[in-house]
Amino acid sequence: MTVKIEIQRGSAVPLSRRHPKFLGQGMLKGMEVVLDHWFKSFGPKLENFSQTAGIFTTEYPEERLKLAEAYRNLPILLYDDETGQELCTSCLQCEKICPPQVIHITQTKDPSTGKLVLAAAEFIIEYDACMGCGLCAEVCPFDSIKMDHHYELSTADHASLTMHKADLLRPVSYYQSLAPTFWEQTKENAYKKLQNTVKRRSGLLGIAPSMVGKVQPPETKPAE
Amino acid sequence: MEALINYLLNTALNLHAPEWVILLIRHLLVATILFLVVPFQMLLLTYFERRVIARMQDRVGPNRVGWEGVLQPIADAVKMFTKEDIVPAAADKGVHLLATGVVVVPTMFMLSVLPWGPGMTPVDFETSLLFFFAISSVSAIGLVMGGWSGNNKFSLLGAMRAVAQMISYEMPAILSILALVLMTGSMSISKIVEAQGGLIANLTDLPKVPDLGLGWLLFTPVGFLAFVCFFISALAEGERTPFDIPEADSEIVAGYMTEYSGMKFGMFYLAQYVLNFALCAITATLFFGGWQGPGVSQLSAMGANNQLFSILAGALGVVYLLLKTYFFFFTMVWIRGAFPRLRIDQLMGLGWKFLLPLTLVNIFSAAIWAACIHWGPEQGLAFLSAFGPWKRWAIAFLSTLVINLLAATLLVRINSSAESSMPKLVEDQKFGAVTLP
Ligand code: SF4
Ligand code: SF4
Repeated sequence: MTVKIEIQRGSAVPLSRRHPKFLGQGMLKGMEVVLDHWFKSFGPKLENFSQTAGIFTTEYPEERLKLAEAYRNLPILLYDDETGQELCTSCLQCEKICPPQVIHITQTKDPSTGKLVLAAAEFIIEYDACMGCGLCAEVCPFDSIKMDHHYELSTADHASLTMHKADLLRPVSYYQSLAPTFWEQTKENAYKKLQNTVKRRSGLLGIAPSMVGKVQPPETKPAE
Repeated sequence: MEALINYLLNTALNLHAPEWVILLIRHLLVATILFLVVPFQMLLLTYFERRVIARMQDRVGPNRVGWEGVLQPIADAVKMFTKEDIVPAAADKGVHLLATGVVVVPTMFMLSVLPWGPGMTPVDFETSLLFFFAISSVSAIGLVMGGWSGNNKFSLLGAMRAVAQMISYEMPAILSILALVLMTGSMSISKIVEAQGGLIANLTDLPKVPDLGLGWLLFTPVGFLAFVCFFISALAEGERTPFDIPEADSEIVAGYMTEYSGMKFGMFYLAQYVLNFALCAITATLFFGGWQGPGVSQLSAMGANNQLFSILAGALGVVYLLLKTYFFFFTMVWIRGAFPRLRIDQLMGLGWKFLLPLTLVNIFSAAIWAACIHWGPEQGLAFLSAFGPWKRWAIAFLSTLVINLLAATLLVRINSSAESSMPKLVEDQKFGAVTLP
């Protein structure tokens, strides 16, 4: 039996305890409840949180809770699976908004013309100081930077936490597996923008390093 | 055991060892076994308690180190050993160190008079019950030493609470035991255990009952009331919840242990668990027949012809005792899982206003019990010998039952009316208008 008590601010809640039938009735009742929990703890694991007696511990390294789609840990960069084109245009929005200033972007210059190309030559995120606020992912107009679900990052090697572009790049399909509904909502927009970006890139500029050699560089030359 | 050592030394090795050498070897052996058993029990108990209380709170408990976490206490012990031993600069260093010993040693002594199995009492003498409780109070001195020497207000508060609690609960504990002494006519723990053979009623009261080792004193009204009072007092003496006021980690850090670290803290911890073990064991021994249980006496009777059977009887007795002891330890943990800590005035009130009068009445009933069963014409109660043993037992049972029930009801009435006469928080009032007593 559950009793719903509405508590108003500033008023005392009367708690009526029925008079015990015999000495120690309340104490025995309390002990019964505890013993009941003890017995039930040997039963099957609880499935949902409305069940109140029994073990609900998720024993971490062996068992893991399913992460919510909106879960965010630290940021990663995306590239297209087929063409290998990075979504980032090095617009520097994320670098500007990052509160602890841990994003460092070097813009790409076309070696032949010396002009800026819409791609990042180097993209560094200091994972050790990133606070996982997700502002970079919020602000990115090209859906290029997204929050990863991978959280087992602890290491004894501090320097390895400075993540370079090659460490950060993930295929779009990876992000899709993490957050399918979110990607569904933004997919069209992201690809439309990527197409526009690719038109203004040339050769291998803007292609994820791991994909170089596996994909054909786009034939369209950027409009002069 | 002496016979065995005698055989080994004098017959097998032909050494002509005098009797005192044999006795010395025997005691050294027993002491070694006890000193090995004690820390092992403590390790087991900490693990047991943590796993049990965890399950009562819907947790899993330590299950990582070794199979299901059985090596957890060893890992903890290693941690304790490697920790830095910090002694406060303002502490009385000698007393600070000595306190650990004064606390631990008496608890070890307590185990030496326990009958572990039939004929397996390490040191058996006529007043072993008295010795048990006398030596257990010695550790109170250690607590004061520990609390005072640390030069810390929390330690001192904890120590004073501990001693106040120990002294006020020693009284009902010993008075409830006294009832048993009256009933069995002996102060020797092993004799009290031996008197608990039989079935429901014990053999000395009703000679004809079958000996299933179940004539536990618990099954008499006097024994039952004594058990309830004693177990409550044992909880208080072992500083278990709901009487863990001396440590009260949420109020005064850890009481008298506050200024201890590393292995010295570990010693206090050890003492506490050994004390709890000893108290559980003595509860099992005095009220639940100790090593008595179905089959033990039959096996030892068969042991007259074959040595193997008496060894089996001993082993079975030890198993029975340990099972009962662990059951009581489980109950202690169970109580810890169920109840919050008492306030210090409630603690004192329970001890002095409820348990003490109750145990005094219980001694009175115990006297009636003893008179009904054992007395005869010599004591001027010739009419009693006219009844057969069954009738005498029934009279004793009923009269003590009535007296104890009446006393318990009366005391509950008195204590609860004192409580209800206190001004209460008026229901349904706005907080601003409530007048608290
Ligand atoms: S990740 Fe997004 S916001 Fe940051 S530079 Fe690249 S395109 Fe701009
Ligand atoms: S998550 Fe926050 S702190 Fe981390 S890189 Fe993005 S904006 Fe900076």
